[in-house]
Amino acid sequence: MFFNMHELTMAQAILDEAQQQVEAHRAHRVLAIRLQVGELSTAVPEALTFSFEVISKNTCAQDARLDITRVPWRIRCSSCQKEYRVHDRLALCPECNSAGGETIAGKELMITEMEIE
Amino acid sequence: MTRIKVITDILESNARIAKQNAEIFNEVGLYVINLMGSPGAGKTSLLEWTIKALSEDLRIGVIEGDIQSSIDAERISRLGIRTVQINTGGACHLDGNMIRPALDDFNLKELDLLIVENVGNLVCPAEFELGEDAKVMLLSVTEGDDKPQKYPLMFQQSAVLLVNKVDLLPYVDCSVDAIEERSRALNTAIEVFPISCKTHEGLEAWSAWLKKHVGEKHEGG
Repeated sequence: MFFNMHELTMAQAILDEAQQQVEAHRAHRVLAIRLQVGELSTAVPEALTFSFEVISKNTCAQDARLDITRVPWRIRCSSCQKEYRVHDRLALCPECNSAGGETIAGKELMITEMEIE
Repeated sequence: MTRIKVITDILESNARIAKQNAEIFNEVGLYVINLMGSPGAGKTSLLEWTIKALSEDLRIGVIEGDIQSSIDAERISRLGIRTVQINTGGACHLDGNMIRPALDDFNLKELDLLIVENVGNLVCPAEFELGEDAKVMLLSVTEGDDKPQKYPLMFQQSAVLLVNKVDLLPYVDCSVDAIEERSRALNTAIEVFPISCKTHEGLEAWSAWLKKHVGEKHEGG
């Protein structure tokens, strides 16, 4: 099945996981799903929420709330190892002025918690 | 109400399929690249040149991903290369699942290199693994040198960045040095090759890189 937006693919994966959890815990429905979406991820939270609303209709996750936390983009400087947050675009290290380094946070696309009953 | 800790990567099911694809490729020692870039960056022209340059030494197969039409597959087929077109019907990227049926159209044992040309897009192709050995990104100088800052994930995930259309540099405000510097800040290991598919500048270095990696995989496989 091919979808038009990548968020729809992601929403489907979230729904699959929710349905598995409901089954595993012999619950009836999903109330909330907590997600971490890194600032570097291509997922747009609004589009993810909308996609999930559409595909969760008539499932155990209908009306479930998606709580999305954006995870800031963080870099470890390749020269001085200082860890810093990137705002807007990659700039120079605030400590030593070198460019760039390893991304240590910001690519997340994770389910962390669910509320079921 | 019960609260349960889950900790699941949303893209895990795609990653699983991509891993299975990679196992299929590894079993036969086939080197696979996932070629990504904007519409019009020159992906298909690059493919044409690469095929002409390497088809005497390497057995090459191509998967073409496009939203619509088989224009690209027809271009590549003209070079006598086995080509399978995938039309995503609107989807903005290829994923691990989409390329699986296309693999049945090849005799993978008889290939050394499989090139998957992704849908023209700088956004989500970066997020979906196909099972490839390397992501290769093509950016043209007409797109501007701010692209690493605007689409960081794509540059972070790519092993190689080809900067195309350098023959047009006198006419555009774009610095290849700035592209390289900004790309390296995001990804220290990225290999950058300035090229022109029109004048063929820089393409020897790219094909040498490709040949080397195909050879290494072949020996290991």
